Amino acid sequence: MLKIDNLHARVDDKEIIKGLSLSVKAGEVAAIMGPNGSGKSTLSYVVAGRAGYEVTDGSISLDGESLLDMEANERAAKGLFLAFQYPLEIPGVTTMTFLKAAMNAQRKQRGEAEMSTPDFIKTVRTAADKLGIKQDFLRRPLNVGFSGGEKKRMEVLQMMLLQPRLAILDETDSGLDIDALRIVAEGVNALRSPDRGFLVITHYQRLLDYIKPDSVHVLSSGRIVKSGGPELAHELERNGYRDYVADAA
Amino acid sequence: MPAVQETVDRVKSVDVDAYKYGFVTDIESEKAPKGLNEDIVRYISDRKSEPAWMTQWRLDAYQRWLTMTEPKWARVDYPPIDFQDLYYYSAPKSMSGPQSLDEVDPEILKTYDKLGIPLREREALLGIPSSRVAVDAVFDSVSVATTFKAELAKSGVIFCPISEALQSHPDLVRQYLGTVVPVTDNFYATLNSAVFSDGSFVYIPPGVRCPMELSTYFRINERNTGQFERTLIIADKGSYVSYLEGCTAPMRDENQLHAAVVELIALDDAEIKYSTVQNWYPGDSDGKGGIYNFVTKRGDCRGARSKISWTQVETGSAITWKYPSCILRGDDSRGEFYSIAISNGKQQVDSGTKMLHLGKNTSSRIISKGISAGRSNNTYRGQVFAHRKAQNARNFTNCDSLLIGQQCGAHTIPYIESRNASAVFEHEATTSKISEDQLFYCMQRGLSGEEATALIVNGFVRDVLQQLPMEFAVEAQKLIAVSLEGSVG
Amino acid sequence: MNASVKPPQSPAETSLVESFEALRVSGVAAVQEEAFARFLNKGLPSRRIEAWHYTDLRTQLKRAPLPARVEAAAEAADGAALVFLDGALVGEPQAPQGVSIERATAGRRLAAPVIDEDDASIALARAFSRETITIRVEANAHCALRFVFQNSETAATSAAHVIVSVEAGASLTLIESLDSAAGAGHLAQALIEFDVGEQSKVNYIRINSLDAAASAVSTLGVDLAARAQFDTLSLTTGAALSRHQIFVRFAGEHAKASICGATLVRGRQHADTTIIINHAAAHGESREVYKTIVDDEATGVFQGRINVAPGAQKTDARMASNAMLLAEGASMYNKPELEIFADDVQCAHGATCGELDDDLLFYIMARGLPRREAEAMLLEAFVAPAFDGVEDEDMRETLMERVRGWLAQRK
Ligand SMILES: Nc1ncnc2c1ncn2[C@@H]1O[C@H](COP(=O)(O)OP(=O)(O)OP(=O)(O)O)[C@@H](O)[C@H]1O
Ligand SMILES: [Mg+2]
Repeated sequence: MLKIDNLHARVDDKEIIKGLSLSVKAGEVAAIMGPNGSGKSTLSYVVAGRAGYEVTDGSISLDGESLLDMEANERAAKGLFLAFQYPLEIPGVTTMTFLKAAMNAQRKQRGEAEMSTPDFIKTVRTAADKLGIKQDFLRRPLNVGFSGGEKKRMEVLQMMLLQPRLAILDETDSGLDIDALRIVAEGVNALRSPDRGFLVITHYQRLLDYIKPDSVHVLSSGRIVKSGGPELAHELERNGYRDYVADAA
Repeated sequence: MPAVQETVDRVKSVDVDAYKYGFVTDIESEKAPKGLNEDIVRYISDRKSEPAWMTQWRLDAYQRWLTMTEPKWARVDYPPIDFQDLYYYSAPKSMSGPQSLDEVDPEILKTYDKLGIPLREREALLGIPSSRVAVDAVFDSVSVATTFKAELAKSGVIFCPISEALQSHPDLVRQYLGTVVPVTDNFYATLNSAVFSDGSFVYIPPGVRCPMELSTYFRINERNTGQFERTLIIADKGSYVSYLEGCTAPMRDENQLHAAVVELIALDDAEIKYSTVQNWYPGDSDGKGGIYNFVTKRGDCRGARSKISWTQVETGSAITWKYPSCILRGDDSRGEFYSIAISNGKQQVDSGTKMLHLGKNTSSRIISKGISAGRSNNTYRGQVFAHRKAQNARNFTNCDSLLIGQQCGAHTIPYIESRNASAVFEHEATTSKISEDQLFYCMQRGLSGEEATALIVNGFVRDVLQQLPMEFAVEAQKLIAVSLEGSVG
Repeated sequence: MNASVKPPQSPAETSLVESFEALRVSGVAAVQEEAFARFLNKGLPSRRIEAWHYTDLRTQLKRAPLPARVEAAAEAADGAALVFLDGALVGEPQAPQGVSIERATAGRRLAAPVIDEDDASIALARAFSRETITIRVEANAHCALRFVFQNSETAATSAAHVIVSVEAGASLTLIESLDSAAGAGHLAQALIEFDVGEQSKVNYIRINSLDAAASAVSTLGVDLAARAQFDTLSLTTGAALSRHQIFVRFAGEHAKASICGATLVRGRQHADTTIIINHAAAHGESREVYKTIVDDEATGVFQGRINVAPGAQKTDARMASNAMLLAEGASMYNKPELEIFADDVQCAHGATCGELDDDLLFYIMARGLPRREAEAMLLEAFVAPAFDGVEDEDMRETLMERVRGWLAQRK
């Protein structure tokens, strides 16, 4: 469903993604691992359509449709979701207001009817309960003053509500305590379905113990330098990136 | 990161012409001849059958005005106003003073319908009880209807056009008129004192909590007509009133002058909450037409423990010159100023407040949120002053400005003056833009650029919106989105 | 109400006319005459001029003394110090390596002036400046200089004009002191202009300890080229009436300035600091931290304006002014302003005004310190952040020592 082919992208005139190819099939969970600064977050921003990230070559398509000319919100409406490595704070806008605005904006773009307020509140409450998010968080301005782990849970809550076709999780496991990690993983697993894909960016095997990936890719210096099955993650955990960093150079 | 190209393009094509209240009511009106002289002042006083002292008061003001010059210190720029080229009095022909709703010209009723202002009590009563609001509707120079008067009278509240109050309660008017904004205060206030036509009068007796929101709705309709309304609100000891003010005007090519004076008086333990949603016609995207809004608003916390709170949402007018202020005379009195000022197109806003701490243990709070877009300029100008005797005065001020686009300006000019060692003043101000990161985050969740901007702006002004009565808050929120239309990508 | 009607001459203005007459006797340059005419046309700044709202020279300046006689004596100045006696440079100073010092008749201007020539106080300073001292720091040179402004026992109206041009890659440390003989009612004026070249660095410390009988009106203009850095700090405890105005222009990109100060006044002193920062180029960074302590019936004034011109994107400007009032009769006027015409900027200012925290005082006194010592401790801590940027430990200690000295003299 997600197909990235020979992607080159730059930020501030600096080429960071250098000929990257990757595809994620419907129903697949693909994991991306790679050293700090290798371009993982950059890749996720490019796919999500952040301004200032310029694609100089290659293609990105979702369900056969090119994403390159779409605004970030149009991509979201197509079912693309990005859980940010560093979620943003929006002062003065309560979490509830934000969730409702996002949900309805996507429905509107897809030509669907708005969700009724009682239904909406019920859906949010149920999802929040599942993730162990207390109700009073929903009345606080989005992410403002939330701890690192709380922000990550809020990202997963949004994913559960928006029910994306393809979700990119950028280090959603970092900052989570042990229980939260399990809860979040359960949330992701519950969403796993034959018509939904996941791209999970992580540094640790720990998360992959909970969310069993179908494929593992190593990203180094803006390129995928090695792909394999779940066993590749174990190997990385043991040996580090040494071999692959050298390869890429 | 600078605004994306698209933002810039949209700013260029900014469409202030989307003003929704720009229609004209076709109605015959009775006008005083153009221009200003003693005869016009007498004419206005005469039309209202005012007592002799009032006529003299006006004439004194007029004489004084002749010796004054327009203030030039504000950060606004406009061609000279020809004060002889204006009509100073215009009233719908069918009216000769306040009367029952059945006699009001149906065209006028239709106007208020279109504006969404309920003038029929019965209809209003059918609504949700909490949204019951008594309305005084001022159309050009006269009040055309005041609702719920009878019901308010039951609790002793007087709510009527000031022209009527001059007939029915002349002593009250005489006792308080001009005691907060003296006749000699400033050029526009003095002009207003000479030629004011109508406005609202409110008196809340001791210990009474006004049973409903009071509001005045101002509408300028006639061409080349200045509107000079005068509002006087007195909250007697231990009373409480919440008062709302709304304004609109048709779209016209020429500029129209609006120079109002509002005086508030709070006696011991009384509280007045005054909210404004100002949406006068701002002119078109080239700055043609629009209202010059030169207004003097001041509250006097005359009694101990009294409180006056101003909340304003300013989105309209070509030029706004307005500083709702509090004189904190009574010991332990409190003043508040909450403001959202949005400018777009070629609007110019110079607005803020004055908190004058005279009494002991007085406190004040100022929260100002300015948003500039298009080619507009938006200035916060405020003064906080502690008198030698203002022991333990306290002020907290927070002014934040947001710029949308590269052709607008945002300015902050505070005067913080302390003559008392025990006074504690804190002031903070920031200027920034909507962060591209926040915008992207919202868009990743599916919001369009415009929706995302509106959402973030609403978050930015939330502290102030929360001060508005419920019914107004919703309206104000929509207004903010509308006034920023076309300014964001 | 009509601005074109000039008010009658104030006593100070009349005495300034007399003083300038006396100057003429020993000869003045055409530019001085021209400057004085400009001054007369405007008169002394009064509160009706927005920038002088809180310091009304017209009424607050009582009398301007006559200028000092031209001294023939040439006291040798020590090392790299320029000694100014009653405004006039004494002797032929020794220029350190990489520096040239040039004396010329008055009238030189900075290539691109940054100060407000419409300001009558600047015209007055130009009128009374007999010469312009131009100091040039050669490219890539690193040096230190001192300015010593002394004012003699006989009160005099004086002015000094100095242009300091720091060429690319150079660095300069400049320490300036202002002193005057006890009881002499000087009117000491100074106009110091800096042209700070690309990637050069200036560190300028100014200590005003004039006698409480003197008045001081001074202007500092700073023009910053790309990647230049200008750090200045002034400590003011002196003068009955002082006004120090600072104009900084960010002409080149990525320039930085830090303008800090502490003002400690008592008795009936009036001290005004007025700062105008013009960000005319992108990526500029400016910081101002001012601390004011006002005792007795003194008055403190802080005005600070940050202007950001269209196109000066990525400007990062912050200003803080904190004041502490110690006595019932003390006053503080704070006017921090922002004037922003570029959207991608971070600008902020904060201003506070208050008295010592009773709880803290109590806490310290409960540990056994007498009230005055406890207060001094808190006041020292209040002032200290203004000196944070001073890298030289000894210098910082010297400054703090002066603050302690001032505090120790509290009645
Ligand atoms: N705006 C920018 N300008 C210049 N370089 C940038 C910019 N943004 C990112 N980079 C650089 O691009 C490289 C990739 O960054 P990215 O954030 O994608 O790494 P990452 O793989 O997500 O790292 P981590 O594991 O630490 O999250 C880094 O070297 C980073 O410094
Ligand atoms: Mg990353």
